Parts: sequence; C-alpha cells; structure tokens
Amino acid sequence: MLELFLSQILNGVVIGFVYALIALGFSLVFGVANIINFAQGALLMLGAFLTFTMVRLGAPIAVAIPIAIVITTATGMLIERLALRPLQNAPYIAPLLSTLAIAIIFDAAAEMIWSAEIQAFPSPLSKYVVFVGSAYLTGVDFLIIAVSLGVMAGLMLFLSRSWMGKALRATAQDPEAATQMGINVPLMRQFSFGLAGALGALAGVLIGMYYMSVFPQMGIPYGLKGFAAALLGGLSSIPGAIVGGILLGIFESLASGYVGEGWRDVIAFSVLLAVLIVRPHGLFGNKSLDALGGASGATGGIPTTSVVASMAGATGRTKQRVLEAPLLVLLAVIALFALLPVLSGSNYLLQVGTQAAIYAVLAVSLTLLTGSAGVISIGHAAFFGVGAYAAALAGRNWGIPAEAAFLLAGIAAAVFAAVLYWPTIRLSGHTVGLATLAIGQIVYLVCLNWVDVTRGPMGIPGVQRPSLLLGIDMKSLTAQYWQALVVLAIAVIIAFAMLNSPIGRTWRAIREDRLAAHASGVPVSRYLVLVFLVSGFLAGLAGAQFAFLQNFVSPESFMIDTSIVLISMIVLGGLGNITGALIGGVLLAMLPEVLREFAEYRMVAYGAILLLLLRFRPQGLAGTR
Amino acid sequence: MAEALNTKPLVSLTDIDVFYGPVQALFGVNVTVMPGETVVVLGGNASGKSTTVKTVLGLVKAARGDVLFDGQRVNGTPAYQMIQRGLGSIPEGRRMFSEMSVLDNLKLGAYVRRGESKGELDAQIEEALAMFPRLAERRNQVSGTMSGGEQQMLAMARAWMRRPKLLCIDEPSMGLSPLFVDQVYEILAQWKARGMTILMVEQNANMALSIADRGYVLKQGHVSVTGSAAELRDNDDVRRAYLGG
Amino acid sequence: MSTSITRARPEALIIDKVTRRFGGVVAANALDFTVPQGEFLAVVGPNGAGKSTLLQMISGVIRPQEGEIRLGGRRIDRLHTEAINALGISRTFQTSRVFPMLTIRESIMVGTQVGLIGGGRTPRRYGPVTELISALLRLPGYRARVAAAEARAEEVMKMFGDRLWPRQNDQAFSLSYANRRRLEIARALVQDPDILLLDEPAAGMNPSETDELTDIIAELRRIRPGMTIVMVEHKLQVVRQLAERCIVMAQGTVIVDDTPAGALEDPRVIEAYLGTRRSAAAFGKVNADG
Repeated sequence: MLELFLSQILNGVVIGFVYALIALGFSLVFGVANIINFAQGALLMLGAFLTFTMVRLGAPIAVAIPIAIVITTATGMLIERLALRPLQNAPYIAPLLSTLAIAIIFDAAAEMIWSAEIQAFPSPLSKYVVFVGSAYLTGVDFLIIAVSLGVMAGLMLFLSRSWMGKALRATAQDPEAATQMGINVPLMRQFSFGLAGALGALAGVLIGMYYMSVFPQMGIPYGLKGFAAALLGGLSSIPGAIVGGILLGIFESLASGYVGEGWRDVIAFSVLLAVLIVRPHGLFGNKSLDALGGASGATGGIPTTSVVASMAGATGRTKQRVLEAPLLVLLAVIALFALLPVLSGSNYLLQVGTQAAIYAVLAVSLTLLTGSAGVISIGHAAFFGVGAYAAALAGRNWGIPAEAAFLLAGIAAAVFAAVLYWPTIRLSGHTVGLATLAIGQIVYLVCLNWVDVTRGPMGIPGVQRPSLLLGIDMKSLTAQYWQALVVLAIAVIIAFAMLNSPIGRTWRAIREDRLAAHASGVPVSRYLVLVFLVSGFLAGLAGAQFAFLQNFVSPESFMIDTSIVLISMIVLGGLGNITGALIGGVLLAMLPEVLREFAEYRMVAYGAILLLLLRFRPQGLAGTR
Repeated sequence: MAEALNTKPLVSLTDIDVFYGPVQALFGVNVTVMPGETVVVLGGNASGKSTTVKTVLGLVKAARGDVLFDGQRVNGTPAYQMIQRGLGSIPEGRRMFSEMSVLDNLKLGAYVRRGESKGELDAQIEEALAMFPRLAERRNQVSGTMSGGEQQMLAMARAWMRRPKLLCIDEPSMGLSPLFVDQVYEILAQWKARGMTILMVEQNANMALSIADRGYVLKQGHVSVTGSAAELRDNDDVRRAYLGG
Repeated sequence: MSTSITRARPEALIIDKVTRRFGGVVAANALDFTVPQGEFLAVVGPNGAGKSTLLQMISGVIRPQEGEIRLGGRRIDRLHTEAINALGISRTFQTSRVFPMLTIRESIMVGTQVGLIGGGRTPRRYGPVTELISALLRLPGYRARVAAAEARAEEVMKMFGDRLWPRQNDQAFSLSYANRRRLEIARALVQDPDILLLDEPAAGMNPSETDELTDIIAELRRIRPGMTIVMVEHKLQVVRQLAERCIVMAQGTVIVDDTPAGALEDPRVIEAYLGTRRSAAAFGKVNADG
C-alpha cells in the first residue's frame, strides 16, 4: 500500500516539474502581456510533434529537440504579432478568443497532418531505471527534473540580471512607465510569447518522452493543467510555479493511482476550480487575478467589459448599426421554416434543419450569458450535455415520459449551470474563460468516466422520442423538426422576455461596468446566478431535443469543440443580439453541410472565422446589443 | 547658454488637437521649449495640461498639428522611441516598478543606455544616490514600500539616469508634504542651473513659477495665457485656474 | 421604520480614525470627522490629497486598513459596495462610469433596481426566482413596480432640463463629457439616497455648464434638505456656492475644517494649492543665481 503511495508521489513530482514549465509560460504571458494565452497548449503540442516528425525523418532526437524549440518560439512570436497585436484596442474578449481560435486551428490542423491517433514518441532514456524501494525512477524522470531545474534557474537569472529580463519585469509591473524608460513594450510582449513557446515546446517534448506518446489533442488539457499549476502557485513567481506544478502533479497522480486513470484530469481541473473558489490569489501569490484589472489603486479596479466602449475608445466611432428583428418577426420566420416538410420530403434537409434549430437554441442561450451578461463561457457544451443526458436517463432509467423529460432536462442543466459556474462569479476578465473551459472539460470527462450512469464512451442508445403531443405522432423526423422549431420559438420568447425586462437590463449593466453596477446597488451575484439559470435551462432544452433527434447520447457531442463552435456563432452574429445569435447559429450549423467534402477542415474553418471576425468585425454581422 | 546660435526650439507643438475617443482634450495648442529653458504648463483639473506633455512624449497622438523635437517632426513616434531620441520622463503619480528595488529602478532608468559600460552606469547610479541621500539609505528596498516623497525622488533619479536632452515632468509635487516639495524643487533648481531643459506640468503654481523661465496656462484644452514666469506670478488667471476666482 | 430611526439620529456618517495606505504611500492618515445628517460637506485639496480615496472607502470600493466608518451607529466599512448602496449611500465616480451601451433611460433604471427588488433600507420584496418568474410572465405586481420606477426615472431626467430627457434613448457612450456626468448624478439621484457622494461632479464642464450643475444641486438641496451630500470638487466657486462646510485635505489628512468662506481664505489652503510664497521666493533666488 505504501509502495503505491510512494510511487504515485514520485510520479507526481516528476510530471509536476513539467506542469511547472507550462505554468511559467502562462505566468510570463499573463504578467507581461496581461492576457491568458490559450495557445500555450497548442505550442506545447507543436513542439512535441515537430520533434516527433524530425525523429521519424531520421534526425537524432538531441538535434530535433532544439530545432523544434526554435520553431515553436518563432511561432509563439508570430502568434503575438498576427493574432494579438492588431487587437490591442479591440473589445476585451477579442484577445482571449483570438488565442482560443489559434489553439483550435493548431489542434485541428495537427489532426489533419498527423491523424487523430496517438503516436509513439521516442524516449531513449526510458530504459534506464533506478529503484527507490519498490518504486522506481527512469532516465526520463531524471532528465525531466534536471532540465526543468536547469531551465528555471536560467530563467530566474535571466529575469533578475539581464537588461531584457529587467525590461520584461518592468513591463509586467507597469507598461506605461516601462515605455517611458524607453522600453519597447510591444516587443516585450512578443518576446514573452516567444519564451512561453520555448517553455511549452520543451514541456511538450518532456511529456512525449514521459508517456512515450503524443496526440494532437494534447494541447488543451496540458494547457489547462499548466494554468492550474500557475494559479495554484500564485501566477507571479518561479518558485510558486514549481510548487504549484508539483502539488498538482501529486494530486492527480494520487487520483489516478487510487481512483482510476480516467479521473486524473478531472482531479486536475477540479483543483483549478477549487483554487479559484477558495484562494484565487494562489498559495503564495499576491498578484491580482484579474487579467484586465492591472493596477487598480484608488480608482477601483474592475474594468469595463463593454464591447463598444473599447471600440469607441480606440476608433472614436460612436455609432453602430444594429439589426434587431422584433419578436413577432422572428416567430414568423420560424413559422415559415415550419413549412419546409410540406415543400420537400428530403430527410436530409429535415435532419440538417433540426440540427440548425438546436444550434440556434444553444446560440441564444449562450448569447444571454456571454453576450448580455458578459460572462465568457467556453464550457457551454457542458449544459447542452447535461440536458441531453438528463433527457436520455429520464426515459431509459427512470421511466419518465419523454414529454416531461424536456422540462427535467432544462431544470437539470439550469441547476448544474448555477452550481458549476458559481465559482466564476468572483472572477472577471479572461480568467472566467479559463474557469468555464475547465468546467466544460470536467463535465465531459465525468460523462466519459462515470460508466455506471453514463455508460462512458459507449453512450446511451435507444433514447425514446416523445410519443404523442396534442394527438400528433412525434416519432417521425418531420415531427422532430417541428418539435425543434417549437423549442426554438420558446427559447426566443424566453430570451426576449428576459432581455426586455429589468433583469436583462441589469445583466447588460453588469457587463458594461461591474463596479458601477455594484455602486448602483445591483446585487451582482444574484443576477449572475439568474443568467446561469436561464442560459442553462435553454441549453438543457437543446440537449433534450438533441437526444431525441439522435436517439442516442454520447460524450463526444459535448467536447470543447462544441463550446467553441457556439462561441463562434454568437461572435459571428453579434454578442447579446438574439437576431444575431439566430443568424450565426444557423449559418455555422449549415457550414459543415455546405463544405461537406472538406468536413475535416471544419474546426479550422471555425477557428479562422473567429479569428478574422475578431480582427475585422468584432461587433458581428448583426451588431452587438 | 551664452551662444546665440540656440534659437531653434528643442520642442515645439504647433496647432495641436488631441482626442480621447470622441472627447477633444486639446484645441490648437502651441507650446515651445528652447534649449536650456524651464517651461511650466499650468491649469486646473482636466484642462489638458498633462495631455500636452503626453503629446510631447508620444504617449498620445495628435490628431492635427505638428510635434517637433530637435528639429525633426515626430508625430506618431511611439513613446519608447522618443525616450531613445533623448527625452526623459517623470510620470504623474511616480509610477514605480513597485516590486523592484531602488537600484533596479535606477538601472531601468538607464535602459536606453544599456550599451554603455557597466562601470559608467554604476558610477552614475552612485552619483544619483548621492544626490538623494534618502534613496542611498534604501538602495535595496522594494520601491513600492517607500513613502510618496521617497518614490518621487526615485522617479526623479530614475529619469535623471537617462541623461535626457529634455526632461518631462508631470506634477512632481502631487500628494507630497511641503518638506518634500521643497526638496523636489531644490533638486530641480540644481538641474536647471546645470543647464538641463525642463518641461513640466504642475498644480503647485507658485513653486513651479519659482524655477520656471516661462509658462503656459491651459483652460479647457486651450492656451489661455502665456508669458514669463514673473508675468504669470502676478496674473490673476493663474490663481483663478485653481481657486476659481 | 428603520429609516426613521436613522434619520432621527443627529449624525449620519462617522469617519473614525480611518487610515489607508497604498504600499508606502499614505492616502488617508487617521481621518477623523463626522458628517451630521443633512449637511452639505465639500472636500477639497490638491491632487493626490486622498479625497477620492475617502469617497472610495465610504462607498466600500476600497477598505480602510485601520479605523471604522459608521452610518447611524452601524459599522459599514466591512460591507460590500452594493450593500452600502442599499443602505442609502449613492455615489458618482471621478472618471464617469456610465454603462456605455445602455441608453440614458436604461442607465438610470439600473439605479432603481435595488429599490425594485427591495433590500437594505426597504424590506426584501422579490427573491431571485420570484423575480425571474415575475419578469418572465410580466406579473402585474412586478409590472406596477417597474412602472413606478420608470416614472421616478423620468422625474429625475427632467430635473436636468433638456440635457437628458430628449436624449433618453441615446446610448451613454455617445454622450458628451458633461452629459455623462449628469447621467451619473441622475443614476444616483433616482435612488433617493440619504447620503449622496459626488466625486468632482463639475470636472470637465465649462463655466456655463458648471453654473447649470450648481443650480441643479442647489435645487436638489431645496427639495431634499434631509439628504447629506459629500462632494469632492476642484472648482472652488462651486464649493462656495453650495457647501455649508468645507474640509481641506492634503497628504491624507484634514488640514482645515471650516465654512467654505473661512476655509478658502485660510492661508494654509492657499499654500496647499499654490505652494508657499516663502519657499518659492527662496528658489527664485537659486534660480537667479544659477
């Protein structure tokens, strides 16, 4: 028993050093450029795969690694230049979503280049083994510890002794003052991305060696873990990152040893959430977590998160055209769509139409949360999933009629949203995005691993559609299409009622200026919980409709990809605008159908659309409300 | 500066308009600073006086008009390049690198001179510390923990490390006790006596006019009065700018 | 009922040896004074004197490190900003914090939200779920309260003449500087506060706009004499015209506490703003020598 414990601790310490490297990359970019860099994980994956490819082509690994690190560093700097610097004065969510889009493009491109499979990674040092009691350490373990300690010591010296290092620290502490010392602040930001890329590539190679394998989707989970480690250590110091990384490594190692390998990541991401709730400044940190707040001083810290305010400030433009159809028009359009089965009996069209309606409901639900209330949610697929599972389980296991399952799915998703998103209430700015991403991953992994209830990756087949509604047989695809349109109409009506009520006005006030909302007496937490409830409820309805349409529920429908597609939809349509959400939702839901031959490019296309929109039309097609 | 050659201004702002988003902060402002001169920009809150200096520093961009430094048009040149060209800045509110020591702050002050020998920079740091004995006692203290007066001195010493052709100062007496204000101005007077060119923004009009050669009074983004320090000292507009008549 | 108790007390707001430092910089140094209910207190002083920090602490945006702030005997310095607001303290900000994308009408309505759902000075009327359902189904009780709030918002908008009312559907970010300040004041006034904190309300206004604002505040004084007002203001003529009492701050302490006329004639005040003539003369000499 003790042996298992000891060996898990040792494993945890070793992998913890790798997490510390990723964490340092996060902290550097966070400190210097004041943003949370989702692309950190993508750079890690890139470094690992470049090494893998070069070795496969015959290069010695000792040569491949430095080359991979150099390329990744350059890529990091290029990302800053192309995807972030142009967004300096863009809406606050733009840089965050921009790095997310980069992450998605890299992720999807890697799948296309190297296939989605797990690849064997060369690990020549693994064969050397040293026993510590009954536990053992391999050559790779020693390499990881030695390299990490060496890099961290080097980094510490670099930051405290060199001109460049001092300039980086100065930029982190006060960019405006740094500028007035003659420091080229944009270059420092770019440099921090390069450094983060180098650290990420190194970490990726070490992970590859440690697990003797790499896979294209490794970026996001390891990126999240790096952030969890950084957060645990307080985001500000190198020793903090080391301690945070090692603690996280030990936690998840124990979890995988005692609970099961599948729960490793669940524990890691839960640690992230727990730190956010209990100790948002980390164990040793004193740095503010607010990625936008920076120096607050006497003026009170919380910055505006308004899309237009930041745009108007940058461009002097004070008017934007907003396309907002009245409720009756929207309902009329939905009614027109209901004629489709009459005009065409194509099952394919009905299938696509039903999908589009489901995505439109999800987009409406997300635009309330992210668009109106300003809570960046990159885990929205979680509530879609909760709704779908609730509907599936209700019929299959609990014998609840499918009609009632709709309501149950909505309520379950609403409650989950309120409970799971509660920790994000205290956060503002970009951190919310990371927390919600972690929540999305946790729900996905629980669905995947809680086999007793969800049947894990096999999914739940045979979900029964509602049988009779108002005397109409609801089992046919046509009926499902109509049902989805009814759900959409309900979602639109609810969203309209909320947005045009004092509650919706309060959500928007919170988004526009949270401090001013507090000072005007608005109980901010209460209204955020309300938006979680409403948004979760609508996502749950969409989930139930999805389960009925497919007759089947499995975790892969609720992966992070879905959350990102949803974000792209509402950004495309225009944040906080229901008409925009409907347009964006339908357009992007149809996109893979239009580009059928290029289906594998789907996620790259979503990423690119997101990236270009943020750069050129942040207010979306229909305008922000 | 006895040479009559120096008739070309070191800095000149001509017909400057500046906007913050939709709000206009400066309306056709003209300001010049001759080499060796000490010039003060006075004005009440939100009068545009800080914006004037920020325009020189390249921290804000003029929508209209010309900014000349050392005979060259520098509109739109970013601030860090202006510092490389020879400006030094003591920002409003001091803006310490608050988690760094006094010594590191001073070193960063000489950032644009990082190519010079370490011995020379170290010698100048010692010179700076000799000028401000309070800083010498605290050379390894983290700057954020120092008092406002000490921070102001550090900000001055840090800018001085640049060996600027023109020193821009924004409200050096802000929030300081009279004792510190006296010390700040004593040092400024010494620098001026050694021939440094200074452009400053100040609320403390009497102090500023005691060392300035000339001054401008800004009111709602317009230059309302300009003249020699002696003229401004007895001008009611100055008093009114702060005390509202 | 509780409000009547509060109002019966002779003193509304007590600042009790309050200290706040930022690093080594002392922004408030053992501030100690009382603002009786219904008083119009002006706080003046040069930049960096700690005036805004004082308002930030009263409104709960930042917390004092030492000392207490009490309202009607109740300690409020540990409360959250929104809880302090709900007790009847409304404020404006030094750099206007409007809700950029909300219209004037919507922005002012945000101020009524706490009154709508109750809490603080009034009994809690709507829990979160009750409000959700009431708003969704547009239940008559809720609608009536919203209508009353709308009426109140209109009344306040009209106080500002034709500045806000004709523009009520303009978004806040498109407003002029002066109108943003008016909007902020309106958002505070719609709450009918017991204590109004104004942080440089006339900053950035031209002389005629300043006069107009002065008239509005004077009118407000007439309508609501019981309302305590604490105003930080740089334009001293505004202080002279409006305030009953004037505190002059410098380096985080109160250096003069007097009537406006008395305070603004005090040599220490002139010194705080314009610097001492004596030491100035001394540097003039250095200057001449150099």
